[in-house]
Amino acid sequence: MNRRDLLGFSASLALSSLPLRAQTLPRGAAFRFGVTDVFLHDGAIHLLQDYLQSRLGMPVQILQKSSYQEALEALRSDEMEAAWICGFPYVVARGFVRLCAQPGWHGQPWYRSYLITGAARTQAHSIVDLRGDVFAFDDPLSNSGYLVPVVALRALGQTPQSFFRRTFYTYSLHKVVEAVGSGLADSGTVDGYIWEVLMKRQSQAALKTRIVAKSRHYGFPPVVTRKNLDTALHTRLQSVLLSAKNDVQGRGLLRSLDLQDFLLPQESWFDGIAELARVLDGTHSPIPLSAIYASA
Amino acid sequence: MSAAPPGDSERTATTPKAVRLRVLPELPGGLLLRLPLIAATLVALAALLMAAGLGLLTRQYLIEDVDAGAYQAVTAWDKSLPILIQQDNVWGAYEALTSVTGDQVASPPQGASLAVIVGPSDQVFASSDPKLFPTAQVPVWTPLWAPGSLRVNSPLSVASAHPGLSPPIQSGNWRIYIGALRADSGASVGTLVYAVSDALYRQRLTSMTWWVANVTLLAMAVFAPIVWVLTRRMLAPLARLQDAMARSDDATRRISAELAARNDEVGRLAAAFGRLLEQAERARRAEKLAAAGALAAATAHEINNPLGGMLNALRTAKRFGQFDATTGQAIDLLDRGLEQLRSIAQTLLAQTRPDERDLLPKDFTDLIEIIQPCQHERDVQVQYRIDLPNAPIAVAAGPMRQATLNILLNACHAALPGSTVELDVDLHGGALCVRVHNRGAAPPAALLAAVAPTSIPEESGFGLWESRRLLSDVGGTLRLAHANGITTATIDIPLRRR
Repeated sequence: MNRRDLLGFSASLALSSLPLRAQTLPRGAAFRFGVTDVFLHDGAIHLLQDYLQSRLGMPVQILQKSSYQEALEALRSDEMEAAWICGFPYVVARGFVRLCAQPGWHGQPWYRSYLITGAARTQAHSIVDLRGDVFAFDDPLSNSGYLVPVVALRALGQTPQSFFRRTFYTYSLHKVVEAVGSGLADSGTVDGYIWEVLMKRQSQAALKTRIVAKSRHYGFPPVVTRKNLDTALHTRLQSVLLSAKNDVQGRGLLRSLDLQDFLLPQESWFDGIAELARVLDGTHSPIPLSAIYASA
Repeated sequence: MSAAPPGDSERTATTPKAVRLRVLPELPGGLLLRLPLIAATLVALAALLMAAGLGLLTRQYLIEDVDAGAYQAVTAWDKSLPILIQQDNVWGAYEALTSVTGDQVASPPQGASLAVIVGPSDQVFASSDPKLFPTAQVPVWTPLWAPGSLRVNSPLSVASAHPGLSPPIQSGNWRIYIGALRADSGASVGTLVYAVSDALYRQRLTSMTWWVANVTLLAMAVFAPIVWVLTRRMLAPLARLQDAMARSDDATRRISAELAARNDEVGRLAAAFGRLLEQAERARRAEKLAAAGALAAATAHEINNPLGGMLNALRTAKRFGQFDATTGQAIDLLDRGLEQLRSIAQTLLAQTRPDERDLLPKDFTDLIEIIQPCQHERDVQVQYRIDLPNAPIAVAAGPMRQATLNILLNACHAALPGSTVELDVDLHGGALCVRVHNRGAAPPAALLAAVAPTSIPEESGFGLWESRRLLSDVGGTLRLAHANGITTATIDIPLRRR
C-alpha cells in the first residue's frame, strides 16, 4: 500500500464516521474480538478467549486479521465487535471506533518505535545511517512499523523510496525482526514492546538484531470497539479488561502478554500519533528528527 | 657352467603351455586348502561386489529422490512466486522459499538447500539465504560455483516432464535447478535458482552404506565358513584317497575299493587308482619271476659244466668198463638221470641265451624223452612226426625247446588218460611249424583268444604265458584251438636270416 492508497483508505473511513445506530448482538451470537500479530503465540489468544467468555458470560470468537486494514474493514462492516489494533489505525478510524481499554506496558500507556538492524552492524546509530538499506516495514497502517520512520524521513526531505534501496512489508511486527535477523532486510522498524518481549524470550531472530534508535513515546496499541456497538456491551468489555489484574485468570492473561494491566484510555494519549498522521497527510509541517527519535 | 638346482633341468624341459601356467601365482598348501580358500574368497568378493553395486544404486536412487523433490518444490513455487513478485511481496516470497529450504535464522548457516529469486532487473528479489544472496543486489554465484566440476545432465530427461525447468546442473556439492517464473499472461517475472547440497542425502547414504556394509560383513561371516566347510566336506573323499595313496599297506586297496563304489569323479579316480595298483602288483610279480629266472639260469650254467664232465666220465666207464648186471643197470640209471638233469639245465640256459644255437631235429626227440615221466603219470601215449632235414634249422634252439616242452607238458596234463598226444613238426613257407594235439577239455577262453603274451596269469596257464613270452622274443607265435574235443597248439616261428 502506497501513500495514495493510504490516504484514500483514510478518506473512506472518514465517510464512515457518520452517526451510527447502536446494535445489540442477537441472542446466542458470539462476541467477535479481532486481533493482529501483537499476539506472539496461540496460547495467549486462547487465554484471552477463555477470559472474555467467562467474564462476559457469552461465547467469544477470536478473529485473527492479517493486516490493520483488514481489521478496520471488519469493524466498519460490523463483522467484529472489538479489536486490539495499533494507535495509527485507531487515529485513522476514530469515526467508527472508540477506545475501550489501554494495555499498560510496565503499567504505562506508552510504547516506542525501534529502528533495528543486524547485531553485527554496530556503527549505525540513527536513521541517517540506514540510507541505502533494504528496509522492512510492518504494515502501512502501523504506527511503529511504518508511520514513525516515514515521518522521520520527511524531516530529512526523503521518502522511503528515495532513501532506501528497497522496502517491503511483512504485515507482522515479529516478522520484521525475523527479516532483519535473517538478513533479508538490512534494517527495519518495529514496535518496541514486541522487540523487548522477543528479547526477553531469547528469540534467535531478535538476538541477531540491535537497536539503532528509539522513538519518543506514543500511545500503546489500544483495544477498541465499533462505535455502533451496544454501549452496555462496550462497557462490559471495558470493565472486564480493566479488572483483569484483579483475578487469577486475568493475571494469567496479562502475564502471557507481558502486560501489567489494562487502563481506562484517554484520547490525548494518541495525540502524538495523530500529529504524525497529519504530517503524513501533508496537513502538518514536518517534525524535526530529534523530536521523533530520542536515542538508541 | 652354473650349478643349477635339480628341478631346473625339468623346468627348462617343460612345454610353453606349462610355462604359462606356472606364471600364475601359486597358493600355499594343497588342493584341500586352496579350493576352500578360493571358494571362501569368491564368496567374500561376490558379497563385496554386491555391496558396492547396492551402494551405487542407493546413491542413484537418492539423487533421483532429490531431483523429484526439487521438481515438486519448483512446480509449487512456479504457481505461488510469480504472484508474490508481482505484488512486490518480498517477505511472502522469502517465506515461500524458506518453507522448503528452512529458515536461515533457525537452521544452521550452511543449509542443505537454498533458493534464489532473480527479478526482472537481474537483482535478487528474495533468497532463502539473504546473507549469501542479499535482496536488491546483483547475485554473486560464487558459493554455488565449483570450477572444473560443472556437469549438466541430459536436457531430454526433464524437458518433457518439466517445461521451463533446466536439467539438474551438478556443481561441486551442489545440484542446481533453474526455472523461469512466468505470470499467468506468460510474461517472465523472474528466474528461480534452486540448489540442493548433497548433504541432504549424504547422511542417508552414509546410514544406508553402513547398513549394507554390516549386512555384507555378516553375510561374509556366515557364508564364507559355510562354503569353507562344505568345500572341505566335498573334498574329504579326495583327502581320504590321497591318504590311501600315501600309505602302502592293505588299507590302500581297501580304501580305494570303498571309494571306487562312489558314482562320481572321486569314484572313477579311485577305480583308476585300483587298476594302477593291480598293474603295479603284476609288474612286481613279473620282476620277481624274472629274478627267479635269472637265478635259475645262473644255477643251470654252474651245473651244466660239471654235469657234462660227469656224463663223459660215466659213458667212458660204460664204454670201457666191465660191470655186472646190477651195476650196469645202476650206471644206466645214472646216465639217464644225469642226461635229464643236463637237458633241464640246458633248457634253463636257453631262456637266457635264446640265440645260443640253431635247432636240431634231435631237440624234439629229447623233448619226447623229457616228458616220459609225465606220460607214465598220466597214462598217455605220444606219437610224433618230425619232417625236418637232418641239419640245423635256423631257429633259436633254446626258446623253441622250452616253448615246445611247455606245450607238450600242458598237453600231457590236459590229455584224457589213455589218449594220445601227437607232435607234428615241419617247415612251411620259411617258417618252422610245430603242432601238438591232445584230446581233452577245452582250455579257458582267455587262453584260446590270446596270441601274444599278455599279463601274467594268476592261477593257471603260466606255461602257455611263458611259452608265448619266449616265442615272442624270437618272433614266433603260439595259437590255441579246440574243436571236436581236440585241443591244438600251433607254434609258428620264422627262420632266422643268415
